[in-house]
Amino acid sequence: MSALPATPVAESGRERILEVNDLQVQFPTADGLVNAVNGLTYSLDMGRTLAIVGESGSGKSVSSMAVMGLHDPRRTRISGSIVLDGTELVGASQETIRQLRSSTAAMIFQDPQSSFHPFKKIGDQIAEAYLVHHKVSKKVAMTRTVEMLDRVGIPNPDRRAKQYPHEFSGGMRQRAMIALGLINDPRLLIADEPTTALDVTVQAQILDLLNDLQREFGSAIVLITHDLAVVAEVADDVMVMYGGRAVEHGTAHEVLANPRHPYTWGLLGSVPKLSASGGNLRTIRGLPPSLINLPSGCSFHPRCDFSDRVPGGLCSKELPGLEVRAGDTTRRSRCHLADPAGIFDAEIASTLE
Amino acid sequence: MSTASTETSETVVHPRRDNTREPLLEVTDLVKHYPVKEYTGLFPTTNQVRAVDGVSFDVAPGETLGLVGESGCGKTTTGRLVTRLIDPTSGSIKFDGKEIGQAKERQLRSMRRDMQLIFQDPYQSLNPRQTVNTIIGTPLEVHNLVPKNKRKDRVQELLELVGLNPEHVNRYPNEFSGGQRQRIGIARALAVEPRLIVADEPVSALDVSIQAQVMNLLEKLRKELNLAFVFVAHDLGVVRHFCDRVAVMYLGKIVEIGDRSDIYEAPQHPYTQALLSAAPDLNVVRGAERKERIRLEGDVPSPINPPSGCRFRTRCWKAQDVCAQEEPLLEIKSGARQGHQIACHFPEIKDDLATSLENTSA
Amino acid sequence: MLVYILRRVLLGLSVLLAAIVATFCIFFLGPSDPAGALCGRQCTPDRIVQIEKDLGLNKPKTEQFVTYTKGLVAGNDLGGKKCDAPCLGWSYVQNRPVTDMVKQAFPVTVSIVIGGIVVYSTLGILFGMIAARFRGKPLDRVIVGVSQFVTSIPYFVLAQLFFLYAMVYYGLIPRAKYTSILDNPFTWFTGLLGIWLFYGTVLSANYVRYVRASMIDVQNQDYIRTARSKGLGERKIAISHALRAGIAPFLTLLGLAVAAELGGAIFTERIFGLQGMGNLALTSFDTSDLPVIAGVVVVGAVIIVSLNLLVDLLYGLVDPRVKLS
Repeated sequence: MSALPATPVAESGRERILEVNDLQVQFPTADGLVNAVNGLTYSLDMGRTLAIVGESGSGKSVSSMAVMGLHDPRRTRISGSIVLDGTELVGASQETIRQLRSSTAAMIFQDPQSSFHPFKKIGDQIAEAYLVHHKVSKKVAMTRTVEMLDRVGIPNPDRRAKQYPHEFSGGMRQRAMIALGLINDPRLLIADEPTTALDVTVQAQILDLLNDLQREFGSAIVLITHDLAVVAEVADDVMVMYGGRAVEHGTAHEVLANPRHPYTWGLLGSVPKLSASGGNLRTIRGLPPSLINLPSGCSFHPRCDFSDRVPGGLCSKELPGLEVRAGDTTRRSRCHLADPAGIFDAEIASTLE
Repeated sequence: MSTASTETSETVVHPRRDNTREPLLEVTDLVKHYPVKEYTGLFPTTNQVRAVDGVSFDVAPGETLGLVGESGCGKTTTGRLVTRLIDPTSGSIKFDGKEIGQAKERQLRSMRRDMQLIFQDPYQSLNPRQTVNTIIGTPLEVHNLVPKNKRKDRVQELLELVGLNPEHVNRYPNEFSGGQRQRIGIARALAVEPRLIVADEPVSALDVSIQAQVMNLLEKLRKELNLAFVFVAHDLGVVRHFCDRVAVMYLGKIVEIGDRSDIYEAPQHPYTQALLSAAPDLNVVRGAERKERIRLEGDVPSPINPPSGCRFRTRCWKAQDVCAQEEPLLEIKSGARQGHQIACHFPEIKDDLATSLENTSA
Repeated sequence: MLVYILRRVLLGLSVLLAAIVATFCIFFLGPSDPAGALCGRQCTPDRIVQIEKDLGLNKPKTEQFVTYTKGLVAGNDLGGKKCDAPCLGWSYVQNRPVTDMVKQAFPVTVSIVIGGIVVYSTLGILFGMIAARFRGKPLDRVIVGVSQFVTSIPYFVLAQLFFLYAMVYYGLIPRAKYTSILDNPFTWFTGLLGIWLFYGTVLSANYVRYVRASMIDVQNQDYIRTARSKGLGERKIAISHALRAGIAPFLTLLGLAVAAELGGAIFTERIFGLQGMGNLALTSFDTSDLPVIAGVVVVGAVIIVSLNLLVDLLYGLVDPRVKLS
């Protein structure tokens, strides 16, 4: 990789906020080395929402935790490069990373119940994040906190700021979590399954809120989720991960409406649609791969229904690159198939409706 | 956009339409109140959590009924009451014509063979110290279904039926993945050849691809073995996929019940409509568009002090005075088909909430 | 908060009442012969009757109980012997009010226990935190190893050894001595310091591993990750977030263990020769001085209930959720 300009500007004219290059994350365990992320490369511009989709063990959470520097350095091996707003994070000092947390990149977690300290008032917990990065009095920080709580739609923010997490409902807690995420006006917001623990009507409220806030603040959002329907509703770009690698990455329309990777086909087929009933679901056979012993070649080949169409058993021998294929302009996919578009149109598309 | 598609998409004739049908399970006015102590004053006061508060439905042999609703609506409690894992406060549960609502444990024995449970958490519902052989073999033994020397063969047969390797009969649950464990739970339920299975969120703890595998398995078993299901779930897509009939619950009551097509294509209760409108849909990305976005405000009220009259009125955009004074009955409304009942003072059909590609391309 | 405190006080009082009833039943309904014991060697039946009359032992048991309870609240007149409230009865053997005897012993025991709690809480939390911080490292192993070693030896054996070697043979630590804190706070402190350090250190061994496990558990909690993602420094996270959560279960344990620690205090008094309630009880056992033993039990219950109350209040300060449940 040649030297990057301090703030790279993407073709769209938007400022680039995150550039991940050949990221590897490994956890040494008693059973062996867990290869959680294996060479992940992607970038994200301001104002865009990237959804990272995958099943448990796909590396979607692990890679994003690495962006926040939240892995215990004593138990994790990280290599490659993560450039956040012009700062290289891999190999950076804890102090450098600490300075960037919440101010440049903030994270919203899945379970708002356990992600707030049970013994501290919500307002204090949010104001604390503001105080770390601003030299202001507690009173100013609290005023700002109450403003944020109001902004994320919490009624009576004055009173609510003085309450404890257990006095909040699940939806209100997640709103408070978002207020905490946005208190320092970060340029990148990473939301890790932000609605998975919530009921569907509350989920809709929270997704609307995230959409509104992005429009207002123009920040970039990384949305980590397993729920393709949520992705369809909110994401601009989608990156599908499998076995610690991206297998398909493009705009939401490219990836969800015209997917090119057999794993994406399988995922889409597995979701019971709200608007269609009965019949068998198109599934993916077999089980997710072991991260200690990843299959050779393409990690998906043992579960792939189409690997026999690639000549010479190439799928089990050689890892296909994540590249822009013929017929695509922006989407990258990682598959040896010569004409995935043809297969999708002829065999898959009709089964997905 | 007419309701014409409603008629065409339904090809299966449900037992419900057949007036002479004998329900396998008939639940009438089922109530479960839990006492909870509250310590806000000087002395603890006991309140009643009205988890399930007058629920009636029936399930015909081979039919699947989906119970949907958000957390705290009482769907899981209803499932447990039906199987008599917990005792109802009042109300009647008739299984195969026999009243089991207040029956003693000994009298329930024979019923337990016909009615089985599948749990949500495949990690906690299997005893980690027992082999698969013991887990699945125990019900065979308890109900004395298979001679002792044939028991292992039967267990292996069951493993094969649910798509597991029969050679793994002597393994322990921790040697299986989440999806495989759920299959073991299903095999255990099937061991006694039940007629009704109560499945409590059977796929919600599983990854998408595994969830689809288990759904397909349940679908196959249901057809092959003519099983009836009470299927408790919060995922509207899963319920639409699997269930013939659907009951929507809110704060311990059924607000709307009907055939799948009634609920998804012509819902009349505002809460059902809000649920459908809130559920994200994959087809959006392929150009399907929703006519209306309904967003509920606030949270579900406490089941200790539910609102008077209609329980949904505090969050309902149609609520008027009558809603606070009079509780709406669950009944057939104008425009609804037979078997489609709605508990609302101001029902109104909305047929465009669950987006569909056919609708938009037409 | 006020309601919470009031409720806890009420609960404590009801426990105390139950303890008084139980004590009365055990000591005065049983086959005992207090009058005989009090009468001494040259005893005549007449004298026994007289004593029983003086002590009210000839009355029905229910009436005796009412008298006993009334005495606790308002004082009694036991056959001409005036016994001021809180009257715990009359010692047959020493022929003086039990309350007087307890009054002398009570501050000694309370001093030992409170000082001990301060020492073992501090040491337990400190070493527990250090061990958790250096989990898996040699320092952690040493701390855990030592605490395991100490807890595996009976307390009275350790106390004997400490007394003999540290105080008698080598004189490393001056012999324990009690002076009232009111008379001279300095000698009160220096006289008991050795005891506190010993008693506290030994008991802290029970807590080190507990605090360690609790702190490690807290380190893995989601809210610690949240704190980190806010950009807080590690020290701030450890003190303001982790410690507060890690201490809560320790407080619960503290409340549960108060009774057992009172037992430890009895050994301590006996072995180090301090005239506290433990020694008082043991001496009274030798002379079958039932009212004294009963009095010690009742006062012991008061100590346990008050310390539990204190722990409950502390817990209420740490964890805002307890006020509700």
